Amino acid sequence: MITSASIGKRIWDEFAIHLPCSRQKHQKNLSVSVGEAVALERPIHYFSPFIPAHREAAYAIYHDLQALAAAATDELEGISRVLDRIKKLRETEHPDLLEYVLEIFLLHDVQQFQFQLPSFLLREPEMAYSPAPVTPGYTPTDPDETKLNWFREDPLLNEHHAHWHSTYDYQSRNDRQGELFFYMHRQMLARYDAERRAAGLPTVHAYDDFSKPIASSYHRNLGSIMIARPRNENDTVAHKDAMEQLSMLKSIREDIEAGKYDPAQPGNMQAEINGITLLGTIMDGSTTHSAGSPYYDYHGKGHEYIEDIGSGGGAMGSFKTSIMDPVFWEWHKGIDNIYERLIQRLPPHGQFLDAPAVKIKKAVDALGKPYSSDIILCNKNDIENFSKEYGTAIGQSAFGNNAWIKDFEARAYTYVDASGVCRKITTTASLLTMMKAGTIRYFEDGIQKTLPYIYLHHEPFCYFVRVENTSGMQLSVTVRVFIVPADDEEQASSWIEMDKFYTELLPYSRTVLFRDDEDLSVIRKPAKLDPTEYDMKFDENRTQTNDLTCDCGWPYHMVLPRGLSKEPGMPFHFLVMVTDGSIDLTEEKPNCGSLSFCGVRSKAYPDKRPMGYPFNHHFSNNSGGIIHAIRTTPHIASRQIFIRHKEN
Amino acid sequence: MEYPSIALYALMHHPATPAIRQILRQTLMELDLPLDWNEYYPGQLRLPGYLQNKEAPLLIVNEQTFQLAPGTIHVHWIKEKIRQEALSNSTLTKRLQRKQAWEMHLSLLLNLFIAFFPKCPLCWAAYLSLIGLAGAHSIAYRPWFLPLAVLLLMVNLCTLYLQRKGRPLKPFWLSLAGSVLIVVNRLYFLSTALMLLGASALLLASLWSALTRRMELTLKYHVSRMLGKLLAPCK
Repeated sequence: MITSASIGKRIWDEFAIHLPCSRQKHQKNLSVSVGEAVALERPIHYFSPFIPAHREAAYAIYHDLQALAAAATDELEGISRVLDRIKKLRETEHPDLLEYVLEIFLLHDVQQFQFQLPSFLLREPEMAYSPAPVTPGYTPTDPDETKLNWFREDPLLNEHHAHWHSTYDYQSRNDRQGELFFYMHRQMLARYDAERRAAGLPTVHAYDDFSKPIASSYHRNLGSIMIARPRNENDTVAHKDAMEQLSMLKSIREDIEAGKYDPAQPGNMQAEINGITLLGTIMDGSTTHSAGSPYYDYHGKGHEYIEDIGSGGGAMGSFKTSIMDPVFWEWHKGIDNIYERLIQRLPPHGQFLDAPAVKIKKAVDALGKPYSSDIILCNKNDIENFSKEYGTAIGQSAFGNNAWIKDFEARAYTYVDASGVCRKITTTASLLTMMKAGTIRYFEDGIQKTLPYIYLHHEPFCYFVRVENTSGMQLSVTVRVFIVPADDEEQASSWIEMDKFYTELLPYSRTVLFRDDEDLSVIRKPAKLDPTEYDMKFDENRTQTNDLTCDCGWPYHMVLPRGLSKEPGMPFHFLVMVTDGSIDLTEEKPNCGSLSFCGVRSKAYPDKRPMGYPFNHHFSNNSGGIIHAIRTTPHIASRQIFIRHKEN
Repeated sequence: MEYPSIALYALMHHPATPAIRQILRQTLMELDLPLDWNEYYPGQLRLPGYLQNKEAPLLIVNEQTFQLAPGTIHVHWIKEKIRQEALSNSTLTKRLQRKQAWEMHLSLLLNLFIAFFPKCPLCWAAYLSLIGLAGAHSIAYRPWFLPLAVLLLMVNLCTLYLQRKGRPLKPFWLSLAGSVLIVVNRLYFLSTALMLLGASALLLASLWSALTRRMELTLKYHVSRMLGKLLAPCK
């Protein structure tokens, strides 16, 4: 008898055992051998969804699986048939192709059940493999770029990128997919640039002229797989590919300049979104409606052409590895520049005339930077008797009521807990990060093995925002939180989204809003507090409460940029903007995953405004730019914080 | 102590502006006032009237403006202005609050008056009957009275229907029900109770449509609060 537990076990085993075994067999059959002369022929040892032939093959199988499942009497039987088919296909198809197809099927075609997938670290532990010596004949990674290996090569960050592309796959079935393609990658770039600043590197330069060599090199051994690009400094994208890329880019620019993606009604939010979404889906190749466009799948082709350099098989060929390569960021900077070109055509923000009747106190700090005493940060370990459930009450007690007008500069204060006991709470202007060492545990040939693993983490924190409703009516509002390195405060594209949530404000109320770092809208939820903690074996008693789309989101342990070690840390602006919920809200209320990066499964994106609002447009220089807008707009406030990295 | 409302009318890129901000910050800290002020700038939309066409930086305390001479920052002068206003602020704040409350309640009262003002002769009769000044029989019957009443009811219904954009149609349906009840009663039942019921429905519909969304929400809030207090002992 087919039960959800038996199906769950089969799915687990498929991802944790059978597909990895198949992968290892494929690798052993390779003609490429590490340590010998460079491969003379192009390896075919991996699946790349960027290669049209591979993608077509994958979706052909996917559609077969859909038909198989649809013919079954119920969903469990359908999944069972799908798994039977996958088992047969293991003999003939590449395991990565099957993994991709199965994941898409489980994400999009399973409605009634939630299944647990093994951790990415269990399925592909080689993603966390420590760097090995450079393979002879291959160029080592650029020494400057190695400073950020920890970021690019973080397994859970790679998993996020891969999972996002599975959630937002080539079937274009999600609301505003094209816009989210642009926005999600822009946010990745913003975070990457913040890390580059902290490492003393310049921000990413775009690589959008394939006739020129790629400036950066990359080399990594992942277990028995070697990922390298280029073989030597002379390797470039094939000439015909370069010409095609330049031609596509020219067409994109011409169409943008011709107003093809301009909103039909200037100033209309939905029309603006439609234009951006259309361009995004064409460039991402995630719509068949515009398959005849000269720049259809421009993004994927870039990956394909770069992956094909030299002997091929580069990191750029797979969603699971592409962000490891520095050129990924350079390529996406080029795509972001296209997005920026489109945005520049939109009217700049002037004054925000649709602001709700709220007030957030504002002044300046000792350095003259915008400062708000209504934005209060705490490290959770510095709140005595802290628990998330009582966070709002803690905030109200400590910072509300009679203390409403006080400024809580960084030091210790008190609050009264639910049982009437006076407790200590310390506010802070600094958030702390550190590198942690952990152990990846996995199975190889049935034997448990371990790998060392270093990852970024942070001291758990929370923040409070004090908002006054100055009107006599109840307000639904959206609270939007961003940070930006202080040096980039006037660059709209550099602002990093941290949180977005909805709340209600009673008439004439003074409310202390509380947010825990585990609830931030950008991260995958439930938050993985320790990335090295995961189930090694299938647990049929464990209740999977969320469907797989909830696994979509930025890794919790990387939610803060690394910052600087030198006191007081790297300065950032921490911005809070309160917007009118009656304009923003959709009917969809997300309950899992990342609202910001992943939306809500099968429903409208849960925010009517353009993504990244208010940084979706540039700010008019005539009205003084972003900092000026912060100073003069009642419902936006910011303060300076520091992110300090604790060296071990 | 209530605190004064402080604003800065700053010329963008004026060299004195950063120093003025620092003085404000220090002053507010010394006076133990909240670190809070608004900022305005020339050309801003919805600029308060008293700031229109000003070309010099201004300090605004409780809507009183003080010119800040460029090139000279009078630290003590700024402190004194704010301190004086802070001391006299409690009276001003209460005055402002009373003014706001009066404006809100006046708006509501006006709408109630318009809503309850009788719009049809039958309603007038019913209304008078309700308050005991005159009975319905005191109004002499005319042959054209009924068609006129029906016409007025139709006008009322059309008005409510035309207001449907951005508003729910519920006031229209309530008014329609009241109108039908009045006409049917007039033709068949001739019952005072039914007539009063129909008139009440018309009055309620008028009141409902006269309320702005804002007032509707405020009323709901206050009613729910009252009900909450009344029901609390039952929980």
